[in-house]
Amino acid sequence: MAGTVACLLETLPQECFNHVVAHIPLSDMPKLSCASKAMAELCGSDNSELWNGLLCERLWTVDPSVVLSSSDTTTTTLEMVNWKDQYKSLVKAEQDHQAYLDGLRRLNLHGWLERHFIGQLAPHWNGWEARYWTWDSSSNSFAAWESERRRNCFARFPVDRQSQVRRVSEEEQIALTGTGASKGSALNPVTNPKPFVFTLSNTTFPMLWACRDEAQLQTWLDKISVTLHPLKFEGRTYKAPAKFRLEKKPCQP
Amino acid sequence: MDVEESTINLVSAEGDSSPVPLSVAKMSELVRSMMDEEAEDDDVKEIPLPNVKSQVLHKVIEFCEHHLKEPMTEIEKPLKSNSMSDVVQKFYADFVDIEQVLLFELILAANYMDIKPLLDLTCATVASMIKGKTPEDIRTTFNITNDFSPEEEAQVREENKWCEEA
Repeated sequence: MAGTVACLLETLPQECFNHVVAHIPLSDMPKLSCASKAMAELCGSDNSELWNGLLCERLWTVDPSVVLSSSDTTTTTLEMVNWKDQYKSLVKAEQDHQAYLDGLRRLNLHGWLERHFIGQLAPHWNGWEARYWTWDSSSNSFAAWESERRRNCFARFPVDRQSQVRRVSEEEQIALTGTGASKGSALNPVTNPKPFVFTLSNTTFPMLWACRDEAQLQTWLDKISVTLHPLKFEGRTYKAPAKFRLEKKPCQP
Repeated sequence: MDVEESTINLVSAEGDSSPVPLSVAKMSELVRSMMDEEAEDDDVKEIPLPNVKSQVLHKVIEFCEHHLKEPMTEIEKPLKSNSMSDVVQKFYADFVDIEQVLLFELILAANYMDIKPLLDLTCATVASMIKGKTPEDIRTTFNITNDFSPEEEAQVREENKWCEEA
């Protein structure tokens, strides 16, 4: 199947190219980037922004316990400071076939996924892509899907009793998304900060949800409080015993 | 009459019409959503697909028809083999043993028509053509022009050196 036409790989739309990349072992990515300038641009051999995104995606297909020691929890993963080390860990995990764990787990998703309350697109923390969030009661975790229709699970966020929902200030949004963000993305909180952003603490990976208007956020919170757990938000108290609580922050202008 | 036994015409870019059972057509999320939107209009019998050529549409229909009879094995990411016959059933491995032009047109059609298993299969096939190859092999396979100057190429290779330690 040798190529007989102008390179089609280089002309694939980014979304399709990303889908191809998702199937390529990480250890082959640098070789692809050596093929041409266009490929280097797409694969960014020494481009930390691109690699942050790529590794983040990969990390989410791997059982985090495989590649993260108990000491590198949330902050290290979020900032991806040592992305080259992460790459090496993930290459090893892939070579040891540990990276298939989530793929196998995904096979069971239709059986035990409950999706009934979040059901909206929210920006991924670094602004790379929109995700469709659902709550999976069997594993007590949030699940981030590629979209409502595309049942490709990117991430799971287990929560526990110490988890707190809290408002994220605009400054925090910028701090959280300062690396790995796609600057041109309309979903990028750095370039498009949203007034109503909140996060859930004490999860394996930091999560951010954002809403464009307060009413939409309140609707979401009404649903989450009924379905998942009661919580407080900006003065509204839900009656059932609080499992999680909202840390009040002053509203940003 | 059973609704699922009804057919709908998928119309290609060239205007060719292909009658397809609803169950087959609805593997495309695009078609499904277009039909849902027009659910109250009983006269909807055609779905125009202006971005899909007739030859490609026929392949898409062939895939969907077979997928209903024998669903494709889920493809693990990353690929564990660069032979598609190790990854999916024979029909699907043979299905993508085609010229690159058609393969890439199938990717675009699968993406446009939103048929996830077909997008997975075609993209995985392209990935299988990359897996385990050297940069030179990749250039040859995809007819990529090496547009690096010798200095640039040396620099890229230097930048990638750290990966080899993995």
